[in-house]
Amino acid sequence: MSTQPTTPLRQPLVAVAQLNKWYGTAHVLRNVSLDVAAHERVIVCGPSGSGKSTLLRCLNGLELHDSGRIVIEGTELTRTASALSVVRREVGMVFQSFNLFPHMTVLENCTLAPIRVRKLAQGEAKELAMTYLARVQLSAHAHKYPSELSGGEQQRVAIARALCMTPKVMLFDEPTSALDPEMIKEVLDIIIGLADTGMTMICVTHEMGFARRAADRIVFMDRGEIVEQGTPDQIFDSPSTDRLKVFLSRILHGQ
Amino acid sequence: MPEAPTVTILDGGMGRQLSRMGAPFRLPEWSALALIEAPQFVREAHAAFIHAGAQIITTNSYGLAPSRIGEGRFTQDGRRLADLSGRLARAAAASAATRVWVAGSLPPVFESYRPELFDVDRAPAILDVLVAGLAPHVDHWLIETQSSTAEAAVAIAAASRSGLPIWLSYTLRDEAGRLGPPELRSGETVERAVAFAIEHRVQAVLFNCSQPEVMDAAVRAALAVLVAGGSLDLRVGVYANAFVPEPLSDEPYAGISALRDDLTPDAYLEWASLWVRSGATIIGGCCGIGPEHITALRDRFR
Repeated sequence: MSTQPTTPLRQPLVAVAQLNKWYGTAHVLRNVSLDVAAHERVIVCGPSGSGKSTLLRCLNGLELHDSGRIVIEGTELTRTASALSVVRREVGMVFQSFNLFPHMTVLENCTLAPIRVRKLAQGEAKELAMTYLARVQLSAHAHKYPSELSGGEQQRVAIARALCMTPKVMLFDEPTSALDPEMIKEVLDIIIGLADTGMTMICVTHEMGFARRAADRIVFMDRGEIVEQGTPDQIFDSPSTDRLKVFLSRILHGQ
Repeated sequence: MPEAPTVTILDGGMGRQLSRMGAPFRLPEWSALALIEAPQFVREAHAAFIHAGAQIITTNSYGLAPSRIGEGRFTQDGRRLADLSGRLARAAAASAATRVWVAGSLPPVFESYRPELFDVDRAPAILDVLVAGLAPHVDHWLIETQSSTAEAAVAIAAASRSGLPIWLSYTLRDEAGRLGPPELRSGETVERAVAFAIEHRVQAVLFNCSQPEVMDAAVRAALAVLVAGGSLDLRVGVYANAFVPEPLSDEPYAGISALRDDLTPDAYLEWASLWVRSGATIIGGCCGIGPEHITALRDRFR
């Protein structure tokens, strides 16, 4: 599906308004506003230090914003334990590093939080985990340990593990940056497959081919602010700001 | 502005508080000496931290190991002293005006900061003595200053038999000028150590007895592991020390570390605010952090 970039069709699932954040004197997020509709696929790109990962980490309370509002499915994200736990239940996150539990099997990695946090019965959690392991095409590896898997497979387990908490929105923070080149595609294919199921997602990445294929909307950030956003065609074929043109020429031509 | 966070305040460093109050205090017994020779000081130190604003006080059982009080005394008196440290903390908590919880301290049972000296065969018997003495008096365990997951695993096994909740606290590498990723003193990554904590079903993972400078990166790494793993019910905490930074060394811990003079209550509060912003919800102090620091934390966070 596609939505007009600036006018989501319905109440946004994620609503970010006038977000500001400082690290000491460094102004790392500047009046960032971003609404994401249910089922929308948003890719955030920009040079390192542009604030894109910080924005993502603000969305589930891993970073605290200094001013502005974040509302996820009607709940404003504050630093109170109750708001944090509500929001984090709705928001799944996949990081560069996979952070799997090394002494647990793939299946145990996926069932631990559903049993512990969602209070699912063992059988129910296992069934759910096998469903999502099938979706990331790792059913056959359910009883292996993370150390027996490749980096790409481990990241796919991390995606399945996040899905087992049945989040409303998935955040991906450079999910392929820690992978060897030959493993990047298998992970991106899984993310595209997930997008095709209608999962709402916000993904920070430098993989521009993937962005073009997967995104409803691309958001370009630089120096803490959203400089430009639009459909992949708008962003890649007719960038309107010099900052985006410079970024694209660097990243597409490897300069 | 986002609302104020929900933070639980721990106490500060017991040993230095005892020393400041004039209690008998020297190596190798360290904070155990007051327990042995002058237990009224221990009770008073607990009261000072409660008065300062601590919601949780920690039993003065850190020094109860054969390496500190001697093999003979530990064998003969270890359980009685553990029981006494639990009683003193419970009595102080019971006489507080507000609800105060008692955490049972399970220390490194060989040397602090020395993961290579951990003896997996001898540790369980020592820990069993501490658990047996403390269990009747405490609300939960605080397994402290753990240098490695191997060390923590044995303490968790010993504490588990009591059925009480377990909080696990790691000490981090913090040599002068340190850069780079947060690591336990064993060299294990914080990510690995937090995954271990989740696997072992502890209720909180903390970082203690390291410089404030290395704590924020550890809190952030811990939160990332918890969020990625969906284990959102596990709390993160910090209680840093006020030791003067030292070069990385393989030498044994040679004496009583000097305390830095720049960690005033206000300065410590700034560090604590950083940790809270990064997601910590349990804050206290370790060696050299006193009641005046705890009061500053209370005034900000409660």
